[in-house]
This record gives sequence, structure tokens and C-alpha cells, in this order.
Amino acid sequence: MKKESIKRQKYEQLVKLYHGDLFRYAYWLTHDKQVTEDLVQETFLRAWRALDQLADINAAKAWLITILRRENARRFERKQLTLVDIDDCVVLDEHCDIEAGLENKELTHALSMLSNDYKEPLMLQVIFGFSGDEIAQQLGLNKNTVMTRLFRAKKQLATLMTSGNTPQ
Amino acid sequence: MNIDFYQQAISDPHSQCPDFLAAMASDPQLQEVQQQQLAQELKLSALFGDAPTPSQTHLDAINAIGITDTQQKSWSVMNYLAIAASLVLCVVSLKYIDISPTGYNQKLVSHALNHAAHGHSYAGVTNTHPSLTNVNVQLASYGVSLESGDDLIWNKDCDFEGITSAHLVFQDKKAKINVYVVPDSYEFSQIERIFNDDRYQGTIKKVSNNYLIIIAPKGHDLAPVSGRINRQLEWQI
Repeated sequence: MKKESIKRQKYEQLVKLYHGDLFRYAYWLTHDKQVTEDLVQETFLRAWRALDQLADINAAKAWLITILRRENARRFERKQLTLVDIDDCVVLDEHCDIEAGLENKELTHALSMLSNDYKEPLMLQVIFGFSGDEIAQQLGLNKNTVMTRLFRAKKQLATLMTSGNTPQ
Repeated sequence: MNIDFYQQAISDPHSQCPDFLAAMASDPQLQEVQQQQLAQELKLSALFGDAPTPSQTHLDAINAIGITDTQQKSWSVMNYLAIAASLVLCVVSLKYIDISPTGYNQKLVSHALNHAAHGHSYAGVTNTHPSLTNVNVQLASYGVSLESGDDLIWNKDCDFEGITSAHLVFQDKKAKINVYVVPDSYEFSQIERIFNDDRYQGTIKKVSNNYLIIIAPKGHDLAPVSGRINRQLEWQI
């Protein structure tokens, strides 16, 4: 009973600390609220089942992101194209209209032009504050590659925001 | 300006590398690049934070994960009440279910057959399109997960001889297949056998700490659907 109680406390701590960041990260991966909720739920479900394997609570953030990224990859293995409801399109248009009025419109646009290879390390750095080594471990790349991608991502963002050109 | 430090100021403006910090201290241009990047990071951070608010259903589901396990294992007044309720249900069941002297297993399969017949009017009458994630939240407390929810049309937790059990309904061609996951709370005299009554047939087997019961209408080819469902279920050993 005590062991279960400790496990439960550990789980609640993970939810409290990382749910928000995982949700934001998942949303930027999926761009769909429902899929984001499913993805984050599945991540925490798998985390709960494997919680005994998490020896160091300080490693929890990277561990949860690894689970989430695997789940996201599995989503693509399981599911093919999904039809989008027409009502959702209207909501998206409204969302875009609102964004159009915001100061960061250019940045949003520039970010959407980045390839995932550049966007993903950038997200891991900005949302989670990961170092180059941690991002490299997470993405299965070497650190130099990660640093190069971060450099190019930021340079492309700057170029896109000033010229509005598509990145090469 | 040293090109390496310039690149570092852009790719990793938070770097605490001593050489980088020393270069920063002596180079105002480098400091300016770093400051621009930190400002850019703040904007990006705000942008990435621009996600919708999670629904209450989602938050409840996250908080519910594992809670059934913990509650089942904590010994409290609720457990005594649950046992008392179970005993009452058992007594009621004894009145209504035909029990052969072969032991609890017979009661369990009889209950499964009766449950399938009773649920005929509501369980799986319409496809409720259960979310695979929500189903797996439900199944987590039984130590099992479902790989694909393609044929699943209905799910609920049911009282099964006083034991909270998972009840899933799958659509197989024109037949509805009832699947029960019953926690192993009693000793059963016989397992892994086929049983039937005048309307339904089924199989029961012990998997992990549960009994998996699959019920199909009589005359329906049970073997392939049973095999398919077994392959879709992933048990935590």
C-alpha cells in the first residue's frame, strides 16, 4: 500500500511539473487540440505503467518527452490520413484571423516555414530549456548537428522575418 | 568577431562555457548578438505557449490514471463496504443464476452469458466510437491495453459478480462480440474452456492477473474473432 502511495505521489508530481509543457509541445507537433489531448493522455498512461523504471526524478522531463515523441511516431504508424470536419476549418480560419492581428504574426509565419528538422530542436530548446547535449540525446543526433540546426533555424527565422522569403 | 563565438551566441545564447563568457565580456558586438537572441527566445517562448486550454475531460482523465489501482490496494472503510456489497450481490446472484456444483468458474461463465444476454438491449446497440486513449485509461487498471480500437463500438466498467470488470463490445461482421476482463479475485476451479447456453457461446482463459472472457452469439465462428481480440490486447506481465 505504501509503495502504491509513493508511486501515486510521484505520478502527481510529474503531472504537476510537466503537463503544461508537454501539452504545448504536443500541440506544436500536432496542431490539433483533440489529438494533443489523446497524445498527452497516452504519454502519461505509459509513464504511469513504467513509473517504476524511472530511477531518477531529475531525468523525468527527458523521459516524458521521449515517451511523447514515440507515441507521436506510433500515431503515424497506426493512422493514415484523417478527414477534417468542415467546422474545424472555420475554427482554424478564425484562429488565423485572430493571429493576423497579433504582433507576432510574422514570427508565426516564419516558424511555419521552417522544416521540422530545424523546428524541433528549436522547440526543445525554447519550451524545455534543453542544452545542446540534451537535445542531441533526445533526437538521436550528435551535438554538432544540433547546434548547426539551431543556428540555421534562427538565421532562417531572422531572414524570413525581414524579407518574407521562403527558406532555402 | 570570432565566428565560432558568433555562432554560439545564436545557437546557444545561454552557454556558460568559460571561453564564450570571456569572449562576451570583451566584445560588445557579441553581447549585442546574444541579447538579440535572448529577446527572440522570449518571443518564441510566448509563441510556443500559445496553445489551447486543455479540456476538463482531458485533465480528469490524466488525474484518473492509476487512481483505480491505488484505491483498490488501499485498505479502508470503503473496502469493507465494497466487500459487504459484493456479498449482497453474490447472494442476489445465487438466486438468479443457475449454479452448477463445479465451482466459481461455472458461476463466472454463467454470469458472463447472462450479462451478454442482459446487455443485448443496450451494450453496443449503437457504435459510440470510443476513444482508444480513453479505453486504454479504463483498461490500465486491469494491466492491459488495446492496440487498435477499429472494431470497438462500446466500453464500460461493469459489476461482475461483485468485481468491477471491463466490458468491451466489438463488431465482428454482423455479430457483436462481448469481451470481459475480470480481475482474478477468487479461485476458479476450471479455466480455459469453452462454454455456451441456448443463445451464446464463449471462452474463458486466465491472462496475467485477470480472466479474459469472450462471448459471441451461438453459431458465430468464435475462433478467428477470439484470436484477433487476443492479438489486439497487450498484457502487462
